[in-house]
Amino acid sequence: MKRRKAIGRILLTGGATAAALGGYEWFSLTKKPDIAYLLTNRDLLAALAETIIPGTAIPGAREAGVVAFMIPLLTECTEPKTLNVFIAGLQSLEAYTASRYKQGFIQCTDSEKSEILRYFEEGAQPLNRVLGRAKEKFLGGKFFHTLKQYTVEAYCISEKGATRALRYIPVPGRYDACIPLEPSQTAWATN
Amino acid sequence: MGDPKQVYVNTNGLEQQSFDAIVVGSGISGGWAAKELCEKGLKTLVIERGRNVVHVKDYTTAFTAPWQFPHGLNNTIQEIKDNPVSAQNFNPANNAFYVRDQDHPYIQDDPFHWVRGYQVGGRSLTWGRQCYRLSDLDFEANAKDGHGADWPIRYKDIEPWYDYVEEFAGISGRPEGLAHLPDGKFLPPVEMNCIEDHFANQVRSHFKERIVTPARIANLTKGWKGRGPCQFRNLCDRGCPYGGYFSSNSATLPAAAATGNLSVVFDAIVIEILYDEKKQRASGVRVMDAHTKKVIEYFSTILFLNASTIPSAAILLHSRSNRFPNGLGNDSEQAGHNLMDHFTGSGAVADFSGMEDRYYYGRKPGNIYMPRFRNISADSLRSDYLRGWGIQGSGSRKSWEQVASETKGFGKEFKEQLLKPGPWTLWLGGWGETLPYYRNRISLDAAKTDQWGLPLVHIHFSYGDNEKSMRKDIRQTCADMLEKTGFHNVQGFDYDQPPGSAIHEMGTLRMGKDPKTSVLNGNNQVHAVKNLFVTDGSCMTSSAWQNPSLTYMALTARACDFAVRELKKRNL
Repeated sequence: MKRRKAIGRILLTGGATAAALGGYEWFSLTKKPDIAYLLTNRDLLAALAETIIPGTAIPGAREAGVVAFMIPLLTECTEPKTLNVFIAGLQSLEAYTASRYKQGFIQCTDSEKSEILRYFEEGAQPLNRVLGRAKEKFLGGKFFHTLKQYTVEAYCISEKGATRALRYIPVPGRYDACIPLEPSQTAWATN
Repeated sequence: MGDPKQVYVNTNGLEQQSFDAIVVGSGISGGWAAKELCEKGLKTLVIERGRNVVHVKDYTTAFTAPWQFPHGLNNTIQEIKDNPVSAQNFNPANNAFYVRDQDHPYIQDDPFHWVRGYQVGGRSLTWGRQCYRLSDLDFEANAKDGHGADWPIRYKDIEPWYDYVEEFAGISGRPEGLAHLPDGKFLPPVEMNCIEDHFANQVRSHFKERIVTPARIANLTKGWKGRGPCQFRNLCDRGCPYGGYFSSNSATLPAAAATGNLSVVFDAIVIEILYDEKKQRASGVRVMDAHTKKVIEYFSTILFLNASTIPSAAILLHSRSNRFPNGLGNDSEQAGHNLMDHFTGSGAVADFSGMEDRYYYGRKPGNIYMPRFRNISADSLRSDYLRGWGIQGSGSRKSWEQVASETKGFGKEFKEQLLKPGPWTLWLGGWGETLPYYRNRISLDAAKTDQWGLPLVHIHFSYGDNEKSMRKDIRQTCADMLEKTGFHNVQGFDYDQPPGSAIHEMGTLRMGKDPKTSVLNGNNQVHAVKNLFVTDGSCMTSSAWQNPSLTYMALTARACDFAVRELKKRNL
């Protein structure tokens, strides 16, 4: 317990974090994010999003056009540190895929894509809560978390996601406070 | 000035510069002053510092679907950087109704979020719409425990005016027969959903003196005075094209305009209130056009200052004369002091297992309320703090955002999970009374000015031990209640939100019996300037624990009635 607290305290100051990481890594997190890389890898983003929310009888992430939302969310609504971690994550995922599967992520089969993403999801688990939270604060959000969060958000606010996967009623006209949930009923798109 | 014909046809045009009454500000209290004075036959000019917002026409995002916002409801990093205060409150759907911080600087001597909406309608467009009456528990509090000045009024003085404003505004709610949260003239309540109802029943059986009631809100559960009804979209803060909730734009200003007595100027910033030393009366206002910076004066027999708590005090402090070197009506030197805000951000949230086959239809604009249950009786006295707090709560099935963040994995199973309504959850948060401290104040900078040459406002504010002790109790008590009523995964929280975050700032020109210790009398009349009235949040002598807007409305209607009677007696 004491040790956890100590680690937390060290990581709660940016300077100490920079020292602990070494100057280069700190610099690489605070540098200007490589937006061009994102923009040239829309297909990769779409393939990753589709792995998270695949098409079934209900449209998946690709059909919902999530990349059109994810790009502005990433480039304009994301802290530079988190965005740098995200871009580095994409690059490291491509490198991992190339070394292990000898091809790009896009070319992989669905089951290979799932294996790869599972590897990155597991890597995204924080070591422990204190360290995880402190790290997130100073190192930016984890790659997989950001990917999943934005995929979900882009999907659920997209027209297809909101109207064909979830249920969207612009003008309900009344409030029924407590009614039976139909067996196959999906959730409301908005609150 | 903006062309008033865009909204309110004024046959006299604005070549006319003299009116029976001037109202400064068009927010919740200014709108009421305009309505009351116009309906009583006074030619009335409303002066609004911000842009015009035409009911319905200017609610530009009211029908925008989620996918039509490029960033969803997220602010961009740049927007947050440019608006460190406003961006904590606005999103891309409603940001047209909040000021840009960089256009309206102020100085935070201590952290204080001053959230503003400079436009016709003011913050009545974006308010939380919760409407609760004060009672004698509140009006007597200062006198009993010695904090602040005694309120010059008691519940019986304001009771008919609560009736009066509720009857016009349309407040939905459920009568509960509580002495300390008097019932009002209610439209049918918005019903509690399954989990809220469960919680309400459990609370009733486990706790004495505690009840859960549907939030009392200014949303119309049936058509009312040509407005509404509410369509259960829960998009109120974008402006409601159905007039489903009370705002100046939907309700009071149209009523005022219908009399033919109303003129409105917008983009018009009041620099100072003019004082006639011979008559010992306010004579009018000096105003600057926000765009051309042209200065013009308007004159009137009576004036209502409704610029909101901080600007109303700032305007008086800036209106200096030989008679009032420290600011108009400020003989007591209390003007700007005793700033209060409710504190929020502490409470608890929990999950519930069961009722998985139940859901709801529609999106309600208000949820549940638990009236104060501390320090209301011998059994509920606290040794660690004075006064009390109320709880706003909200039950729902978890949304896709929450489900996604709590569900591991990805792929088909994840997708299935994501699209199902999540488990039931209930959130409880406290809104606590803040004592009036003389040290908490606004003042004017001696040198720094804004783009109109007006001195920047300083805000100096800190909570005391009473508020800190209350916060602790709120967190603990909310968590305990959720534990005892069958919830699990109970998590207490206490977010360190900057003061001002409740957007309930009040108290800077308090009412009182004694001109030596207060700025306004029991009729909201400036003690030494009889034709000048202030009826916005600045008049509050204590903050009480209830959301305050309804009280501003009632005090405004009451003061207008008094002012016009005095006018007829030729006392003003």
